[in-house]
Amino acid sequence: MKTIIQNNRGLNFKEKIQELYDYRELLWTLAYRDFKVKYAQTFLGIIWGVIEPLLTAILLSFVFNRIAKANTFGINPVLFSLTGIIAWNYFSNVVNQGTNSLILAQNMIKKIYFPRILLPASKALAALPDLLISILFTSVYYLVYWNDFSADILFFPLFIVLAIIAGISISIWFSALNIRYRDFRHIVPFAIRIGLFVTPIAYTTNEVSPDLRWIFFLNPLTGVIEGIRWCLFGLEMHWKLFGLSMIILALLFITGFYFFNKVEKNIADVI
Amino acid sequence: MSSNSVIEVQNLSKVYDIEGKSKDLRYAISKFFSSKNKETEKLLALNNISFNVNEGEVFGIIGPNGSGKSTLLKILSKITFPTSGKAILNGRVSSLLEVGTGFHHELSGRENIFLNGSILGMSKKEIKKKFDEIVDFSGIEKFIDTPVKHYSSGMYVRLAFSVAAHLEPEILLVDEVLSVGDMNFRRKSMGKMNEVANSGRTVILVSHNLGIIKNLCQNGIYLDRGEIQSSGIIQKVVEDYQNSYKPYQNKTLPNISKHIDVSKIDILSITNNGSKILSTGDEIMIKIKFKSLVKLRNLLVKIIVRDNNKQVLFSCNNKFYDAIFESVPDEGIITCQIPKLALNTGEYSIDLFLEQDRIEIFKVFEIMRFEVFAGGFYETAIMPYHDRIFLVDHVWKIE
Repeated sequence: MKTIIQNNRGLNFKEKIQELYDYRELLWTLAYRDFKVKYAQTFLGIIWGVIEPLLTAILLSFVFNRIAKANTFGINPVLFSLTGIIAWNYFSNVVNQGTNSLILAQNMIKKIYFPRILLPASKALAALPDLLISILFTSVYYLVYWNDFSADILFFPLFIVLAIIAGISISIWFSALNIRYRDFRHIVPFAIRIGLFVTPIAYTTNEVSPDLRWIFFLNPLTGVIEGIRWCLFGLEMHWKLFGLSMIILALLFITGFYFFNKVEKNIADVI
Repeated sequence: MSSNSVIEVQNLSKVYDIEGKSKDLRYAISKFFSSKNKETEKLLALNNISFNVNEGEVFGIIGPNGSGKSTLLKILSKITFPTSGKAILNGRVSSLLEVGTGFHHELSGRENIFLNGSILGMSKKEIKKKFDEIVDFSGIEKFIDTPVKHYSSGMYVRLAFSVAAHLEPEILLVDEVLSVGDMNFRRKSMGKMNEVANSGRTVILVSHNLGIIKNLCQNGIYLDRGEIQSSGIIQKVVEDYQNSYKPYQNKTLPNISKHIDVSKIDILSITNNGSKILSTGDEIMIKIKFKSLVKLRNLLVKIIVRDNNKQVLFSCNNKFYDAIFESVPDEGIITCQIPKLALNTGEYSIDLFLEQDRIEIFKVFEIMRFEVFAGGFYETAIMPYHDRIFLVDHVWKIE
């Protein structure tokens, strides 16, 4: 094995991917650590993965459906919100944890080399058990309150994968920005709070005027959540706008990877 | 360039930008809109460093604090990148800049072995294979499933070192991690280090402890202010270091007194054959060279030692020993000998006061600064943490 160390400015994509592959065990180990630590010394442990989305769903359905009278198209309002919440909760958890992942590991970053992208990426992995639990719980709710299934339901895992990619992309961006400008520590929680309302969790964009609907789809999570509703409940899907969401997601992912790589280079000097 | 070089370092330089403002969004925005490109202050941490390390060699890097040793090691470990030049490493590299990197206090010893091992670059399979050996070496079998937050600091460090000691890279980069644990464990880890050194692996070792360096290394370099001052056979490099390095800077001494002219102050280690490198526990001597400008008598000499925060630590005074110099030659050297330097590693300064018949005739604050390195105050050569300024002899007994 030969290592050449020099000041090369470019990014060798193939080498980078190979390196990430070589470090895959560390990714799992870091994710395991985060998961383990999250529930260490908690009484309810992973049951929190059920309580949190359920309470949020009840609250949201109360505000949006009871008070603001948003239409759920005959679907049980709590179930309706739950299907949006599972993707949103996962996403916001990953972004929250991911944004601070580099700063919290600064001691490690200064003392040893490993691909730094593993830190935000491991947060996406560590949040998966919670996601799985909330999906299982939602399935039970779904089976009880819904009896009109179609084969479209087979697409459900695809949308979950898209939610995971969205979580990784955004946290790569924010963690790198957070290194450059510590202001993002304040911006991110605020952005997530706003995201909770501009993402169609307890409502659908079908109710929004068609001229303005595209604005919602600039948010990749809108595409993901409307997709989930389409495959579970057969709600109307705006495929062109979904395409827009996915293009934006792909752009965020690719640019995030490049930007992260740029920041990563002298991270030990500036962190 | 010899054919069996495992590490080739060619014209390596590193420049740091000293600018605190890059983390500020406001700065970035104003920079974006302003046409002027503001000059940032630069620090040249490494200047054109080149050397080769052969296969199976243990290579030492020595030099004072801030000489660029750690920067060099960080570049070779890929933690930071060089500004120019390059380094080629042929083989699997592990670097050990501290022990216990990534340890999490909520996790058990067992989990931390796996965590730390994979951070250091071991595969899960490798760790599993060596697990028993690691636990055995650390001597904490009983607590292996206890969260490490319940460990004593000694246990923690022993476990951390044990993981590191079982790395098997072809190239090992080590920074000052050998002095951990109690005496038994130190002996064990030195043994392990000897084993590594003799196992044909290539090692780069950075240390202040010249004894360890001379013991383990064949070749090395002496760095100061980012430049190689000396390189080659380790004995010669250590000697050059001891001869040329000035661990302190004298202020240019203005002739501020009408009575006496102090031309030079030195602090030497008698233990280290008059070297200017002072280590904890050394017998040291402070030498004050002077010329009397008038006829002096009843000279009182007071030396005050302060730490980096200007806090007074102690004073030496010939009055304490009823040894005020009654007669003073026209020209000479005043010496003050301290049998056992009880200061921890760090930087210190000296104030010098001279009085004749209780009237002050000379007063200079911070007339010189000096640095103390790790050494053998205790026979074990264990050094307390940096925040403990003084070392004190003591005796333990249980009955």
